[in-house]
Formats: sequence, structure tokens, C-alpha cells
Amino acid sequence: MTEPLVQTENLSQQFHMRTPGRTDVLHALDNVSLSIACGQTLGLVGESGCGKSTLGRCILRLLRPSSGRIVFAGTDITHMSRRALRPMRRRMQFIPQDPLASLNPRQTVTDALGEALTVHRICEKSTVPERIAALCQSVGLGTDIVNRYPHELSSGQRQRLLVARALSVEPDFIIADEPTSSLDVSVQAQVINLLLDLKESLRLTYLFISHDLHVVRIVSDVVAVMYLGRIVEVGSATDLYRSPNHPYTRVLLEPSQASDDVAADEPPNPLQQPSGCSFHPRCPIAKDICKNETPALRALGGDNVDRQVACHLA
Amino acid sequence: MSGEALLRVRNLVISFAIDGKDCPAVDGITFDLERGRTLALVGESGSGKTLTAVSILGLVQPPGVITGGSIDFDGTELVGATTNAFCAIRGRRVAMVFQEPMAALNPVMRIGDQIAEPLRAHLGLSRVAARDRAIDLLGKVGIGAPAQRVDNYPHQLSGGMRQRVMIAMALSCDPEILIADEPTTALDVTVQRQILALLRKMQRERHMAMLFVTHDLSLVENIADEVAVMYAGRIVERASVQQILTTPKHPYSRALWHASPARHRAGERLQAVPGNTPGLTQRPRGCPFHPRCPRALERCHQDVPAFDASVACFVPHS
Repeated sequence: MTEPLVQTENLSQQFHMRTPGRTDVLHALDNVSLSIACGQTLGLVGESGCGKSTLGRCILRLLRPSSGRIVFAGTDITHMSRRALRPMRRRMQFIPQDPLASLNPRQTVTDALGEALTVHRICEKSTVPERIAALCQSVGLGTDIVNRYPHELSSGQRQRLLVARALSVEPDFIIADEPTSSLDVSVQAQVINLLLDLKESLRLTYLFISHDLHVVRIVSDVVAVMYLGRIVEVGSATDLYRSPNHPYTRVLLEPSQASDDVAADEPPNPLQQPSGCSFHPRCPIAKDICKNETPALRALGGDNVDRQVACHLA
Repeated sequence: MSGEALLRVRNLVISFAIDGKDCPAVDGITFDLERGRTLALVGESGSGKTLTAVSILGLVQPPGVITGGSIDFDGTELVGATTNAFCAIRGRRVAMVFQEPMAALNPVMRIGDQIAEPLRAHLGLSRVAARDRAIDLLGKVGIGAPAQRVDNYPHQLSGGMRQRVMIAMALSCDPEILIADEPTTALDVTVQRQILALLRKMQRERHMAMLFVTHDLSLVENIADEVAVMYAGRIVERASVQQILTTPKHPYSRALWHASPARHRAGERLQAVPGNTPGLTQRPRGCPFHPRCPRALERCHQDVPAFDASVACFVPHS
């Protein structure tokens, strides 16, 4: 096992939802401890609203976590000032989901890529055009598109541009938040292959957030399953898909009548976190203990030390 | 094909005028839909699948125009039919479930009233009777405590529940044809499975014909009897589900299936299709798929392959 590049320790994030007369507390992240080894991809799966994107935004310090620690490359960045964060931010980048929403419609490809190069002083001003051409090439964009605006690109090209923009500052770590969910199947395959190739050639580390279990299996070394702000199971991709241990993971991975019945129950409202194990109201095998005690994430016995599950009954 | 076709679409062409030129977004497609059967229309964005679906309801919006072909619904010609003629059909005999329930539902109207609207308009039910029927329908589509939910507004429901409400609305007048346009795209995997199961159950119970529009070939296995694969406005292959999934003949159907992550193991590179789907103004000459096709011959650059039995290709896989 190599050194972890990114680590979270008991990371929690609460949001205070104010409505006239009362304030509700939403526990978006609840004691999340994860580590991502250098050069590996951690796939993060879960239903919408479970906190996967919040975790990504916390790690990038786009949010200020309520408690817990974030360690990046051996440095605690949990309470770092904006100024101190800036050089760290060069090393961690973000590929968002919706390319049209995250590209400035009035910036050409050159503007979008050049901005980061200039801000972080990645290269001499005179070599910027050269650099942009090289970046475009590395993500499979022809250099003939450098003067185009986002609306003049296809959806696949826009997604490639976002990848190029993330790569422009030579990061070590990239968080990809549903990077292919807006793409057609044939184009999605191109972008996933591109991400896999870049990981190898540039030794990148990814946090790959997706609700598409098939995609996650292909890109990930390690997979973490999230449910209502908590990690319920972690394991190597092959292991976890072969023998899911948490009942929720099983519902996700093994289509059957029983799991369809579970899925039929609406995902609970994160504002009303159930007591004990938060999955117990939907769990097909829940016992009394599940209603009262919150199961901790613990290592499973056996040869696989990396396999962890948060379930009283697993 | 056997049995009586409820819907016969013949050589349908839907064009958009762009810079004075007629660009066909749907380019001469032909298919039948029978009672009690489900046809899946599969294609990527821009293939014309949604446009085909909405044309059956007379909802092609200008600048789109139906410029050729016919849509025969149970003996009535729908191309060029009047608004009045469509009003008698829409929601009554042909109903549709849309992709984005939040965009399709009225945010300031209680869901019960929205379900009751077609019941009152088409079946002439009284306010009270329509409400009772709405509650009954909500229960049928799997919404718990329907008598309370009926007074909810759309924002009070989760995505899956909203899609159930859409289905309840579509089913309200017992339609003969149900058109489902990407009904699960906006939903989570677990909810997705559930909505598909519900659609299948309703289709079987009511012996409806269903046109299921999707971009995801991996969904059709559990819902459709037949599949029509569309590319750049044309149907390139039509076959039974088993055949499409086991022995696809058109290189595009094959590519689509091979590019699907569901077919791959961890760490494996996906078999991507090079290039992009052509835009409306950039349709190539000859077979529209030839620039991306691994099997393309000289001939494919020049001539458009005709639809022959089940596939439109000069060099189909056997």
C-alpha cells in the first residue's frame, strides 16, 4: 500500500436550514473517514442526496467542514486560509458534471485554459498558446477548436475541455463529479477511456463520484458506498462487486424482487435521520439493535484488510 | 409481425428549415405498434427518437414540420389532423410520460387536481368522482397513503414519486398507447428499476401498446418486446430484444452495446465509438454512420442503404 494522498478523518458537514420560525440541521456528512492512496481511484456511489458531492466539495475546501480533518499530501488543510490554500488548489482539481453550466459562455477554449495557466504561473506568457495546443491534444481535442466558444462545441468536446482545464495546472488529484452522466453512451465511453489513460500516463489520483454503478466498477480501484451522509461499505472494486456485505450495497448491486421492494421505499429525508443505523427502515434484515445503535465502520476479518462495512449483522 | 397494428408509421419525415434548407431530423422512418406489445426506440441525442414520439401526439413544434409520410392510428390519419381531432386522442387514447417530471408537472397545482383534469375533460367525471379516481390511481402506481398525497404539490414529492404521478396521469383515461420518453433518466438506479417494473406491469395488465424511448440499450432487455435502433433520423435496425442483445446486425447497434459500461469488467477499457453523432446540418452523404463505422466500404460513402427486412446496412454482421 502506498502513502495516502488524500485522507479525511471523521469529517462532518452540517447545513442549517432556516425557515421562518425554526432551524433544521441537515447532516450531509457524518463522520466520514476515507483515504485515497497515491495513483488510485476511489469510486464513491450512492443515491442522490446522500452527500457524495458534498464530500467532494469538502475535500477541495469549497465548503468549510463542521468538524473532522482533511489531510492532503501530509498537510492538514482543514483550517487553512484561502491564501495558504492557493498553492494546494493547484494540486487538486475538479471536473464537474454539467459542462455548459461550468464553462463561461463568453470565454473561448483559449481563454478557459489560459486563465488557470496564468493565475498559477504554470508557464511563461509567451509559451501559453503552445501549452494550450498541447493540452488540447492530450485530451483528444483538435487544435482547430481553440478559438471556439462552448456553444460551438459538442457535448463530448465540452467534457474534454473540462478535463483539459483540470489538467492545465498539472494536478496530482482530481475529483470527477458525475463527469459522464450528461453524455451519450458512445461518447461516454470515449471520455471514460480518456480518464483511464490520463491516470496511467500522468499518475493521477481520482475521486470518482457517480450514481452509475457500472461506470464506477470500470474506473475504480476502491469503491465506497454512501448512505445518508455515512460510508456504509468500502472495499476493492472487484471484491465489493463480487460479494457485497452491506444490505444496502446488495440492494444496489443485485437486482431481485426483494431488492426492488426495498428500492420501492422512498429514500428517507436527510432532515429526519433515522435513529441507529440510518438504513434500518428500508433494510430487509434489520433487527432491534439496528434501531438503537449506530454501527461503526469496521474492518471485516479475513485476508482483505481494506474491506470495511458498517453493519451490525454483516 | 403478426396481429393488428394499432399504429402504423410510414416513411415519416420531420424537417427543420435551417438557413433556407430543409434538414430532416426524422428521415423516412417506418414502424408498427401492436396492442399489448412494447417497442423500444433506442438512439443517442439528436437521433430523432423523441421527435418521432411527440409527432404521434401532434406535438411537433415549429420550426419543425412533418414534411412527408403518414401516421395511421387505428384508421385515423394523424399527419395533418386538426387540433380538435388531436384533443380527442391526446391523454384519452394516446398518453405520454415525459422525461422530467418536475418540468412536466404544474408546480402550483395539487397533484390530485392534475390527475383529475383529464378525467374530467375526457370522461366527464364529477369533481368528487375524479378525486376518488385520482386517489385510486395513486395507490395503483405505488404511492403510499394516496388519500393524503393527493393534496400534495409536486415539490413535496421525491423524483421517483413525481414520475409515479406522471404515470398515474398518463394511465388515468385507460389509453391504448402509452408513450414513455426516457422516463427513468432523471432517477437514481434503485428508483429506476422500480419505475421500469411499474411501467411493465401496467402495460401488461392493461394490454396497452407502449412506445419506450431511451438512449440506454441496457434498459430495453426488461421492458421491450421489439427494439428499433435509430441513428441520425433513421431506423438502422429493428429486431426482437433477444436478437438485438445477442446478435445485433448493424455496426451501430453493435457499437452501442459494446460501449455500454454494463458489459465491461473493472479496469477494462471501453470500446468507444470514435467521433460524434452528426448534427442536423452535418449529416454525411451515404450511410449516416459511415464516418464512425469500422466496416464502411466505398459504397457506404455514396449510397444510403435501404431498410431490408431488419437492418439498413450494406455490410451487416451476420
